Amino acid sequence: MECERFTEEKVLLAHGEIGHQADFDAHLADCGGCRIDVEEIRDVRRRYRAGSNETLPPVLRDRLLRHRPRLGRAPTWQRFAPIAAAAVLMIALIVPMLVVKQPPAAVPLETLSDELYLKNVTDIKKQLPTIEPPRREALPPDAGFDRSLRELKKKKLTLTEDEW
Amino acid sequence: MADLVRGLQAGQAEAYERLVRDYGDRIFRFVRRMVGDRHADDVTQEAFVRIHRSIASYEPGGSFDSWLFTIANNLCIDHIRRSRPERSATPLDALADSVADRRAAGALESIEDREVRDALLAAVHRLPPDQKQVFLLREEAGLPFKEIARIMNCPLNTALGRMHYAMEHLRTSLKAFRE
Repeated sequence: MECERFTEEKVLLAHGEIGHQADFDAHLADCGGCRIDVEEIRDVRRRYRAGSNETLPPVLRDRLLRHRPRLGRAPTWQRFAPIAAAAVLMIALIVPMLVVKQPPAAVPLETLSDELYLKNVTDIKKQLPTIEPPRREALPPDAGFDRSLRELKKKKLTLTEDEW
Repeated sequence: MADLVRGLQAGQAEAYERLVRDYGDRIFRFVRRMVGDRHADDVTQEAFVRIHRSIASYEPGGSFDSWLFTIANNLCIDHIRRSRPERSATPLDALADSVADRRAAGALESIEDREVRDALLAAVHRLPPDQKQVFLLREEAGLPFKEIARIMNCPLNTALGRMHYAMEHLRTSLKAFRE
């Protein structure tokens, strides 16, 4: 390097990526070293472009064209999403059928609150078969007995001990 | 360019062939300089597979070249990290390795031109990875320094500094031919 100043600007200038910069332009006008630097960078670029000219080897070109990759495969999670959904659905359907419904565990009555106790009793009563009480035949009125009693009351009779 | 991208996104075979035709040489040279001759074919092929498979993620607002070479560059960096730097192929072998390349370079190329070319490419081969990356992204991919800084995730000044040192190395390698 001929001059240590404006190193970045010289790289940009040699690559055609710099616009007008007053201080750099003024320095470049006066500094022969910087002009050599810029010219040598351009020379490297020129020689590199001339020398770097190899092309895609025919064998590789054929391989690339013959094995054209398939267009954008979906991410893994998307590819397996339908399978996962089907599995979840099957589990949701099968598990309830396999699980046997267990009756609620018995709870000691003394641990129950009054309300719960009453509720349990009510529930148990509901579960019990309804037992109809036996129907009683209506007894025929004992007309004779009643009449005798009324007559006795009228006569104010009392029964002796032997009569009883 | 928009046609090419649309064709690729639609999965058209013609678009893929055009991609290989228009970008194959540049991507191959970039990859070859980055990873060395032995793995250049495989990494280039992998780059085209990645480009084709990720084309849906390309946003038309950005530079297509920058997008392509970001993929190629990342693959090269991954490859370099995974494997040791290639030592078996000497730089000079890597430069003018095949007879076909020699012929392609032109029968009219003078001995001196060939020596300069070989010395320059050997010097590129020896550049430190960061400098080589900036140099190749600029000279092979043709990307502006702002894009290179973005791809390399560094400030613009850093990218320019690396290019400055790369140029220093390369100018030194050519000094003998100037005197």
